[in-house]
Amino acid sequence: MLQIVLLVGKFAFLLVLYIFIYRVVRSATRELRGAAPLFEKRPWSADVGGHMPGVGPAPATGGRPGGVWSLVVQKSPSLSKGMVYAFPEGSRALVGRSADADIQLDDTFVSSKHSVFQSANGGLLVEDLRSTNGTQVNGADISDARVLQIGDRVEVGDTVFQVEVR
Amino acid sequence: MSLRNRELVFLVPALVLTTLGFALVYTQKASVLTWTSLTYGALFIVLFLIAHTGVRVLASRADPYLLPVTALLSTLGLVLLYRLDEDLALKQAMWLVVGLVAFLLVLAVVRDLKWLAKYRYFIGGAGLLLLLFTAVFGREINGARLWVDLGPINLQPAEYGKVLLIVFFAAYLVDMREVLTVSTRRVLGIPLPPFRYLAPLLTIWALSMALMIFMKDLGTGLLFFGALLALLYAATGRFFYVFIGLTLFLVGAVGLYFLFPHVQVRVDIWLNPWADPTNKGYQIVQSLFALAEGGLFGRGLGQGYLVLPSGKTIIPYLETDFIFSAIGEELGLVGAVGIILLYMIFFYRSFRVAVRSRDDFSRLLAVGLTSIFALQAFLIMGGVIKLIPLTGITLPFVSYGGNSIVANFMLLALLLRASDKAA
Repeated sequence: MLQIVLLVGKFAFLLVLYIFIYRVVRSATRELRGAAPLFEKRPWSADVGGHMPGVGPAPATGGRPGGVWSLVVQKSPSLSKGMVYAFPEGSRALVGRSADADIQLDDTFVSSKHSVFQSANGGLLVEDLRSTNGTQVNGADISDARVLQIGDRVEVGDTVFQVEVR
Repeated sequence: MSLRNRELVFLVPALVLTTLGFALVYTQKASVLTWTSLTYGALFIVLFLIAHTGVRVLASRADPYLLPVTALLSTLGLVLLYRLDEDLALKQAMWLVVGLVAFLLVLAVVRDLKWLAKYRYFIGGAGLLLLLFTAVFGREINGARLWVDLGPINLQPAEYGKVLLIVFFAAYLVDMREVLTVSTRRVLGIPLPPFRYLAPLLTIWALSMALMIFMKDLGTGLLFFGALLALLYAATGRFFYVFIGLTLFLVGAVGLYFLFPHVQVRVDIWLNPWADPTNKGYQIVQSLFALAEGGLFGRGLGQGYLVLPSGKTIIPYLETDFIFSAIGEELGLVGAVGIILLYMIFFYRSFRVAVRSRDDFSRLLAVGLTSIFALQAFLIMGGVIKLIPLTGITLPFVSYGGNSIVANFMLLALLLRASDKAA
C-alpha cells in the first residue's frame, strides 16, 4: 500500500512540476503575442492619406507643399505615439539623448547628439551626427545628410518618425 | 487578470509541490502518512503569501512569474534538505525567513532605483570593503577564505559584495557608456577609450579580482568577471570588449591553473575522473553514479541512496554544491530538466525586465544581476554533470547556505523593483 502511495506521489510530483512549467510558459508567451500589435508597423498609406512615398515635393526646386513638414512619432520608448514635430521653413532640431537636444530621447541606443533635422529650400533634411547606432531612413543607414520624402520612416534608436506634410 | 493575481495563481502549484514533496519524504522516512508531514507545507504557504502581499503593496506592477519560480526552487531545495538531514532543513527554513525579510526590506527601502545610482560610489566602496573585510578577518575552510565568524552567524561577505559591486558597475557604465563607445585612439588596431574614464572601472575591477583570488574564492571571482563582461557588452554593444575579456579570461585561467594545485586537480578530474575514482575523482564519479541511478523518472523523493547509515552523504557537499545530483537521482532526468526549465523561465523573465526597462540604469542592473545568476546556475549544474570543470558554488535558491539564500533574495528584490518601473 505504502509503495503504491509513494509511486503515485513520485509521478504526481513530476506532473505538477510540468503543469506549472507549461502554464508559466504559456502565460508568458501569450503576453508576448498580446504586446506585439503595439509595435507593429502601421502601413504608411493609413497615415499619409493617399500620398505615395516619393511623390512629395521636389525638395531643391522650392515648391512648397500645401503645409508644413512634420515628423509624427510612430513608436518610441520615451515620446508618446502620435506626437507631431512641425518644421516651418528654416527651422532646425537636434535629436539626441542629452538634455539640450530639441527632441530628447531617453533611449540606450541613442547618442547624446544623434542626428539633426532641418527644413530649408522647401525640403526637409536629416543628417546623422556620426552617432553610434546610426540613423535609418526606410530601414537603410544614411551616411551623412539625406533629403526626406513624404512617407519616409526615420529611425533614431528605437524611435520611429514618419515624415508628413501637415 | 491583474499581474498580482497571476502571481498568486502561479504560487499555488509551487505550494502544492512543497506540500506533496514533504509528505512523500515524511512517508518514506516514517512509513506512515500523517498530517504532521503537512506542517512544513502549511508554513511555507504562509511565508510566501506574506512575500506576495509585500510585493502587492510595494511593487504592484512587478513581474508576476519571478516570485513563484523562486518559491518553487527554494522550497524544492528545502524538501531535498529535509530528506537529507532534518536539522539542516530547519536551519535552511530559518534562513529562508531571513531571506524573505531581506527581500521585503530591499523592496521597501529601494523605492526607486535612481536612489541606488545616486550613491554608486558609496555602494561600490561598501562592496570592496566587504571583500577586504573577508580577506583580513576571514577564516579558511576547505582551502578558501570565505567565512567571517560573527558570534553564532557565519557571514559570507563576498555573496553580498558581488551584488553591491554589480550595482556600482551598472551605475558607472550608464555614465560612461557614451565615452566607452566613442573611442578616440587606436592601439594595435583596437580602439581604446580615453584612459581617465576607464581608470575607476579598471581599478575597482582589478582590486576585487585580486581580493577574490587572494581569498581563493575563484568561483565568485569567475561569476563576477563574467557578469561584468556581460554588462560591458550590454552597455556598449562593442564586441571587442568581449574579445578582450575572453582573452583575459584565458590568460587568467592558464595562470591560475599553474598557480593553484586545486585548480589542476579540478581540471584533471574533469578530463578523467576514473583515473582516481576513490580519492580525487570520488565526488564527481559518485555524482555521475547518482545521475545514472535516477534514470528517466528518478527513484522518487526520499527513495534514492544518498545518505550512509552514519548520516553522512555519499557525495561530499551534496547539500550545497552537489544538490543537483540529488535532484537527478530522486527526480530523474525529467525532474532535472524541469529544474533547468525553471531557471530558464527565470532568466527569460529577468532579461525581459532589462529589455523593457525605460531607463539605462535599471536596464544594465537587470542585465548584470541576471548574468551573475544565470552564470552561477550554469557553472554548478555543468560542473556536477561533468560538462565543465567543477566550480564550488551554490545552486541559486536550491542549495543549502544561508548567505547565498539571503543574497539571492535581495537580488530578486532588485529585479522586481526594476520590472516595476519597466511595466
